[in-house]
Amino acid sequence: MSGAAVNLWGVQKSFGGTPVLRDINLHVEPGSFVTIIGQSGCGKSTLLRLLAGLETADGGELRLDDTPLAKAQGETRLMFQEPRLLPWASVLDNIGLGLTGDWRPGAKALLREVGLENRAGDWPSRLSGGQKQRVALARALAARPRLLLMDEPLGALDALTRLAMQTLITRIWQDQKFTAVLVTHDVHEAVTLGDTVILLERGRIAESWRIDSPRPRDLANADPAATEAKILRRLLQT
Amino acid sequence: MPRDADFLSDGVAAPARTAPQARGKVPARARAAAARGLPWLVPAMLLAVWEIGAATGAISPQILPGPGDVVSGFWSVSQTGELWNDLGISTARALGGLAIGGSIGFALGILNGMSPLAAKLLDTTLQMIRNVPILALIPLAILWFGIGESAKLFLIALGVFFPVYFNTYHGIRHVDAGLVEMARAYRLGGAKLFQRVIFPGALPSILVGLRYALGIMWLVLIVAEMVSASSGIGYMTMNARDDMQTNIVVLGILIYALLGKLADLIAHNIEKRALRWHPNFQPKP
Repeated sequence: MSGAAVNLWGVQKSFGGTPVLRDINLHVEPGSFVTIIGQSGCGKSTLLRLLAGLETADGGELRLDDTPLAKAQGETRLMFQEPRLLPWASVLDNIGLGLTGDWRPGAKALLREVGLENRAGDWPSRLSGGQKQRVALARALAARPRLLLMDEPLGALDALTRLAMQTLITRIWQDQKFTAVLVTHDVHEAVTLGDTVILLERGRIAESWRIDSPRPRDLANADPAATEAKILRRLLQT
Repeated sequence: MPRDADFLSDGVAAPARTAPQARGKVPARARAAAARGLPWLVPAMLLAVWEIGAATGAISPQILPGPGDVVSGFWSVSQTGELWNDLGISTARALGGLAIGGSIGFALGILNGMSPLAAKLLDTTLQMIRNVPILALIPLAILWFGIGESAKLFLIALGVFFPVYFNTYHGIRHVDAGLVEMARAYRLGGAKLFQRVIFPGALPSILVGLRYALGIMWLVLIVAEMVSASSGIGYMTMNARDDMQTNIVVLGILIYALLGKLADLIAHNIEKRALRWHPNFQPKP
């Protein structure tokens, strides 16, 4: 199954009278990787939660391909900032959460993919922070989503683990061809992972950048580095 | 138990690290055995003081008969079958009351935990009733139910109800909201959500409630049996008091202590089994 197209027209959301998102128009091509950056409070997490169906928009239209988003929730999965694994379920049972039928072989394959095949029977409390987030990634992928949403999933990890996770996410995304939307406050991460980087400011899309350089990207890559510098300069202006 | 042992062996092992390596395996094993025996040291000493006091006549047999007297008392009431009969009746009352009060408390705890409307409607009332000391209801229970079984079942059930209710309610209300949100986002709802997320999340608190309930269960049972009963360990004890059989009175008290300890042990084992996932119950690496 391939990635889904995400289309938003004039989306608005306020909390207690305070507008958090004003007039968001966003078009994400099927199978592409979009990263959303912005300062805290700019509405980036809210946008992601709208896409995940955890909040409903006050106005505007949201579609996954041609289906209204509210009816296509089975096709999206969200990765949270914290792993949010069930502490009372084994690693494997966590991955199978919400799945029906014979999900075990698929879950085991995913566990192998994230490099934790020998931890299937462990309790989550036995895992390190990075390992937990890898299990959370496997859990998000287990339902074969066409849209994977990630809310700063690497924010709490140390630098090395974070690099390894970025490589892992890129590899799996290239492999499974879902559409990915990642929210982050780390500009470097945004340009390393994204085809498109979107800057959200005061509830609006302020600017966006395309990054076409090939993957895997690293520090030696000129294009992402140049874009990163551009974005940082832009952020420092405001 | 393993937690106690760990704690003790840690305490003992610390100086050993700085000591010369000459200490072999045997002292380590002996120290472990000593650590296991340590909790029983004080009871054993008390028993010894009691025996010596009684044997030398320092403690009057009318005040506190010696351990030998209590053992012979145990022998005589178990020979006649009186003890086993009373023990069976007391246990049946305790478990019956626990089953009734516990299941009502559990059900209401879940209802109020899951439904804010039900909680609004019922919780204040229940909080008010809770503040009435349960033993103050004994006269009322006797008036309502006479001195038959129902009065005792009612009192035990009521006593057990509150800790089970509050801990279930509290446990469900304090399940990690992030996990519930995650589960909803992963298409879990209704019974599945309850079974996979809410109930396991509330279980540690529910089991704490159960342990409290067991303590209250024995307390209420003893008092109820002493005030109004014609059978049971409490009745046996009160009867022995009338006949000045102090050794049987002491025996009754010891039996209650043992039953209480047994109930606690069972509850602790249920906890250990049900909460294997909990870091507190995992073997230390």
